[in-house]
Amino acid sequence: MGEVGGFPAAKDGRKTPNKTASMNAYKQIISNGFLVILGMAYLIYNTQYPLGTLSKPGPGVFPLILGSMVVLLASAQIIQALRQRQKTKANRTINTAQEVAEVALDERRPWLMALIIAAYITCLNFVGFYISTFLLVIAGSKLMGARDWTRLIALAAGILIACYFIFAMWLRLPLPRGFLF
Amino acid sequence: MGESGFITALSIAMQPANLAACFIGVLIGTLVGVLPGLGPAAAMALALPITFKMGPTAGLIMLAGIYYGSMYGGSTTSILVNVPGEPASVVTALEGYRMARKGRAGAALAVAAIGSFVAGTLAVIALQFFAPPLAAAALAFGPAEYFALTVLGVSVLSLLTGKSRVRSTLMITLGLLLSTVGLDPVEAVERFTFNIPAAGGGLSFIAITAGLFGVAEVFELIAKGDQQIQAMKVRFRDLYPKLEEIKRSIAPILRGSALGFLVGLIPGPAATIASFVSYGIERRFSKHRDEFGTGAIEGVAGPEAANNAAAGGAMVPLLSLGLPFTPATAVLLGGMLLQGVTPGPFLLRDNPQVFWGVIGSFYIGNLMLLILNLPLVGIFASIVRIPARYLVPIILVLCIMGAYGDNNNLFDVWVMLGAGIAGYLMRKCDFEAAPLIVGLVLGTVMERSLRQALVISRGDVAGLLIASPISVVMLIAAVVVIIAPLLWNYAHRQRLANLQM
Repeated sequence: MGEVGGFPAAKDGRKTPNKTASMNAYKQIISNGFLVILGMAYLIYNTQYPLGTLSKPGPGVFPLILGSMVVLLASAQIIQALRQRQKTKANRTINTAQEVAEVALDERRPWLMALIIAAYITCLNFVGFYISTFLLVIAGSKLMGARDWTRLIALAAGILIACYFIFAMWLRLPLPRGFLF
Repeated sequence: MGESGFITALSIAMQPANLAACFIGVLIGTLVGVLPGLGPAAAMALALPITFKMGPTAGLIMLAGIYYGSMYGGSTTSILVNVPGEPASVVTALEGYRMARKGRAGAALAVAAIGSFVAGTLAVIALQFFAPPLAAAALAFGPAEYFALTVLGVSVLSLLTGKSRVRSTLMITLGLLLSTVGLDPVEAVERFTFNIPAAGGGLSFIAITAGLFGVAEVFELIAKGDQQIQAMKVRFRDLYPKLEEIKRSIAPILRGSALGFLVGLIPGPAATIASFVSYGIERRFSKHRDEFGTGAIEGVAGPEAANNAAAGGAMVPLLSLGLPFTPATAVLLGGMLLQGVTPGPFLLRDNPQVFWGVIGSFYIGNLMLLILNLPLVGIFASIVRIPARYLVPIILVLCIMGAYGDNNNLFDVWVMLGAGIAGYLMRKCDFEAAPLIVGLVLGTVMERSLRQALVISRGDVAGLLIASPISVVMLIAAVVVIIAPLLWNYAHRQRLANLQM
């Protein structure tokens, strides 16, 4: 299936540029809206740091400038995206449910990988680097569709051996230890 | 000095022990540069105990080898898997990776290696002959000048990267914002740490880079499913650049060398700035402007030459004045002090073999790197054809090790994961990660400069802006960079409107 602007093309092969522009505007509104909220939270949290005076600026000055810039720039992006969305709204011919379903299928695996990495980091100090990393490599490859267990185990073992010699022995990096090793 | 200094430098560097130290250093440096996340400063710091046993000259030659070797290696992962090994290689990924996707990975790597060799050699020649007056010029920079330089850098960067200047500026600002986490650079007040002790030292640059580029790439590969990374089979004759590519690379390499060396004298993330400025210059003046963004060789040659020349330029203040202006040269200073050698004006008088040995090792080291890199280009290029299901875990583990290796702290690995998720979402929403990284690097310098300049000018903002001719020129340049494209676009729209009427 082809792609149009990063989205799956309609199943009948039609290209739908208005659909792409509308989805892009929607994404810009959401993402910049998040940045506005982030900027405002940052500014609110920054109020605890003194601004000082112009001749002796305090630790709150630079964050105040930056937070304000983030809010202003992100707001400008939202306004631009809203204008763009207005222009393309009349020509929208999208099957929204189909789009969401197609996007959802692609997005499950990265989020699953993120959860696996989070579990890996959590387990490091309990199970240790070697066991955790071995399991991480297996899980990551399986998520990508690897089926050959021999190659998987060989890959995991190879990575661990390389890590041991490069980081532990050569660069003398103290790796997290678990209850075994 | 001149010719006799050159001969002295080579004779010291060619001693067997020093030659071996140089080889080990450039090999480690190249590997460190290839491994995403683990930077030269970290690798040099970890190597300090080893160098202590080698004696001052050999030990420092090895540390220096790691430093400029990493510049070579950093370009390798930028080109092959779009994961910059070093911040100075971020811009190489813009064009180099796209060249790799067109099957020209070998040519990109070869041009990067040749450009780095030429730039490194020219930088060493300049270092040898121009160190004293150049170091004096760099010393003229005070806080007001540093601030003006960072403002100019931000303005140029917002122009260079991404499809939208507003979005690029937003990303740079986010990077600056992230740099405020940790200790305030002037009063050491802890900010935005949320009482997490590990955050007191700030967010790890290595962890964020590994996350934004490496982990985000992993997520994208996983989302696409098990596809082989797009690099056509590289035929033997495709491993090396074509004559046309070499011809197109000559001028960018020479420009990058000159620019990089001069920028390298200036305190701060000079190699990164030099590579970005070089990219902007090549993009602006190239006859093949339309190729930029799709794999233009000039976009690899110029920046790679610039970042290597900047590494050479950064050695000038260290060797001549004892002042380290980058994290890597700060570690080098630590290594010298550990050996009982005090860098600065008296280094040449009291320890000439160290001074000339380090300079001589640059000549030898650059040659070694060229010899190592060019024949191995085929091996590096073939790495791209590894199936994603095997490559993904390798990249992931390297990123995790890089993030963890910065401070031996799992907090940095969490930061890496957070940056990876953010980087993946940013890609979905057309936000570029490169400006954010540069903002993160520039943030501390910018804030410290601004606040110190205001203290010096006693709160006189106008006085800060016109503190010296250097700062005035840079601020005017920044204003021109911001306004000129807007005026140009306005004039263009007016002309089009008039034509339609």
